[in-house]
Amino acid sequence: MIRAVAVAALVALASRAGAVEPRRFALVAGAPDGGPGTVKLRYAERDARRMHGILTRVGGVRAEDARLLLSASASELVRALAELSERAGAARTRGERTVLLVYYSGHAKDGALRLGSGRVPFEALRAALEAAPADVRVGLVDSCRSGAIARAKGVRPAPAFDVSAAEDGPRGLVLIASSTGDEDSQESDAIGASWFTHHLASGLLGGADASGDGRVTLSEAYAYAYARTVGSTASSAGGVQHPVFLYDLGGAGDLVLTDLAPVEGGLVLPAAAEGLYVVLDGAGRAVAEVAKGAGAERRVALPPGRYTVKKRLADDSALLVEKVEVTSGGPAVVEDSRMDRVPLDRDPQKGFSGARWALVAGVGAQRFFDRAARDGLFPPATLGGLEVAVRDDLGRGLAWGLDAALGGGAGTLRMPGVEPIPVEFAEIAGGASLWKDFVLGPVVLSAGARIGLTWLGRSFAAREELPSQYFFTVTPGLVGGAAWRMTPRLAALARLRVSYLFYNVDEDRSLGFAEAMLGVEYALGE
Amino acid sequence: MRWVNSGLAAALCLGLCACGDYSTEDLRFLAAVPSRADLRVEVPEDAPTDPAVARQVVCATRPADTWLRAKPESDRLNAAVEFLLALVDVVRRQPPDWRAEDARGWGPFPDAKHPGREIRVTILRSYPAGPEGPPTFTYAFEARVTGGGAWTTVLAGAFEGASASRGKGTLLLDFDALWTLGMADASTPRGGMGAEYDRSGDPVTIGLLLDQDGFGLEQFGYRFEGYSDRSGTFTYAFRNDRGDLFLATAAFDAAGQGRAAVGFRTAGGVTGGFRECWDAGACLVYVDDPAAFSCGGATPCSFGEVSACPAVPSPPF
Repeated sequence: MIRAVAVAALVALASRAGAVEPRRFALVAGAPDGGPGTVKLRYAERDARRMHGILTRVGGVRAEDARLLLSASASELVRALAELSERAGAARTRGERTVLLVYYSGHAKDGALRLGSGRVPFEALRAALEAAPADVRVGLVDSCRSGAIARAKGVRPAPAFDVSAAEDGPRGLVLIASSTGDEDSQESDAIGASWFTHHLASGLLGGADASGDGRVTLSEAYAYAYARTVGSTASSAGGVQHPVFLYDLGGAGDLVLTDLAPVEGGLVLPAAAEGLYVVLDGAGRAVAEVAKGAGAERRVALPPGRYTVKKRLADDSALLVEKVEVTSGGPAVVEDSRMDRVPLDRDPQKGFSGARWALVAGVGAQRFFDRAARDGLFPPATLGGLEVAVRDDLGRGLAWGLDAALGGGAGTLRMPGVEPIPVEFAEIAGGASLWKDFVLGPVVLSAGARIGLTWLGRSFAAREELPSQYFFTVTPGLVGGAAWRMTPRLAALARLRVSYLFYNVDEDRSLGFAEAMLGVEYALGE
Repeated sequence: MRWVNSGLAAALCLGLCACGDYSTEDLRFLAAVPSRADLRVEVPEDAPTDPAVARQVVCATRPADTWLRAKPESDRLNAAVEFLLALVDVVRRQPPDWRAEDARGWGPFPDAKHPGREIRVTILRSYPAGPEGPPTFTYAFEARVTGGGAWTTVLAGAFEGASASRGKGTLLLDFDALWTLGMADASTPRGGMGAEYDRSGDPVTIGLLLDQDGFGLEQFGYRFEGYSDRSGTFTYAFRNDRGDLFLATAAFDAAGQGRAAVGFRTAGGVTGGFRECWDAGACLVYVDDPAAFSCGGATPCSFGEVSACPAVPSPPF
């Protein structure tokens, strides 16, 4: 109830945004590692980069006044906050109005932000913001149970929001948390972000500009992010997530967070447009979404580039899709009438986790099941290999990969009545795999199939009169594995392949062999 | 039924995709073909190979000239075997063109050294003592004018055992066939050359029969017995500068000392023989030459006691 009143009050404030532009300072931090007992977040750093980009591009924050901390320590966060506070105080001394904005995406637990093994208690963060010599201090915390920061003493509830008639703009402290004090904040592979930051970012780009004045105020952004986050998580396995907005703000007007007017390009949804529009980048990943009602034009301040805009029809019968190019010359207008109607199964949105490329390197061993084959044909071998893996490219959880391996071994060939012959064995193999990933926390289990091309050769250095021999064939098989993600990019990997080999030189024989491999996987891109 | 067809199609695809010569059975066939090591005659390295060097051997008595000819003769013998095995090597340079359970075949393929001729090789395996007994291999190297004509066997062989290094076999090379087919050159002898070898026990034996002179060797039945302790016997023939023919059976130990029984026939047709023993430095320690032939008529030619002769395997006297 309090939240609802707060939202209403803030929406009412939207039309009274102050006209004097303050000097803005921003500390943006993404911390995927929450230390022992926490699962590494996949998108915390991307969230931070995204917010940093928006604030410096349309949020009025000069590049020199912004600090982006990725996987930084608690002490680095505290130092950066102190440094920006000092700069804000200096600007204020010069007579400038100042805004200090702190954004954090990462872990929080037991009343503290978790940055690796370090902690920043909510109360300490709030106290630092309260003490910061800026006219307005804004804390945006996207982490589990971050609503606890809003329970800190001294924060007044929404109805007391002071809508002052004074002309010198708002002053005070605003805290926005992505979830209540007992809720988890959820990330989504589909959008490649936390739900809250995704909607907050979409709102700041223009989706939240309910007034249509080309400015997104704090109240508009919160109202938009609140509604969209609740809606997006309503049916999620993690439970519905409610952002929290508490403030201690005086003075006049609302705080403008982003100003879309200076952006000459971007997308424009005309007044008649109505529905949920999702903007995808060239890789099919969501970069903004706008839930728009009819009646006012809505502008989305996207940087120049090629985008795809999709809209799901209200009756869920199809999608409307249009490719647009955003330039700095003028806005690109998206009209339903010009959009192509495509079936739902041709959704261009890949999901952020889609088409995630990774490199795998490992070493392992190969062994044929049949003893006679091991003794007489293919001795055990050691293999080293590389693989390119592409996850979520063919569907959710579906991955494919191309691999190559080189290896060999030495053994003794034993034939009845013939003295043992030392053998040097070599192998070159390559293949394509298709598998399904099953994510169990930090562990990803996978199972699938592989088709391989295998070249096997042997030579007899100790018996130079004997010729070298080779065999080349197709080796279909099954593949399974387990990966344990150590960092957002690095995972330890164990893989097992069982393959079939059709041998037809001496006689037709069906042989099976297993390959076990240990390695590391390095994720490319985000 | 559809899945049966799909399975057959998959098997066919895999079969078509599989290729190579990775065959352990091929190796079993090749193991039956003798290599250079299997047919190599090895007399002790101490025996000088250069007759000029041999003449420089300084002895308190006289150098053992007969023994000093053993090494060069064995080298010529090995060269003759090399000629034979160069033909055999064709089956090692390339995989068989066809395979059956107990047969392998190569060719026909052009003979790179003799344009307009083609060769084919067949090796057959059988088990005369039953499946558990040792196999017997027979092989034939045949040649003909490319594109037609009857195949002529130029090299034939047989082998009993699983491995040439442990079994026994024979080879017969028909030089006359090579001449007939136009596959001979100026150094190719006439007639034929037979080889037999037995490496199934100790000693290993290698015999080479030349029915005409060739490779610098006299027409003769050469024979070598080599023991595992590097001692052995060597029966060989040679001529001296005067054209006298010597037929020697030398027995030696690993150090190179030994005994020889030598027969001779002079260019003038006189025949005779002598016996002698030498030490590790190839110096005579005993000579029994009643005709004083080995010392060119100088007397006394015979000297020493037979008790001074070393103990050797299979002594000729």
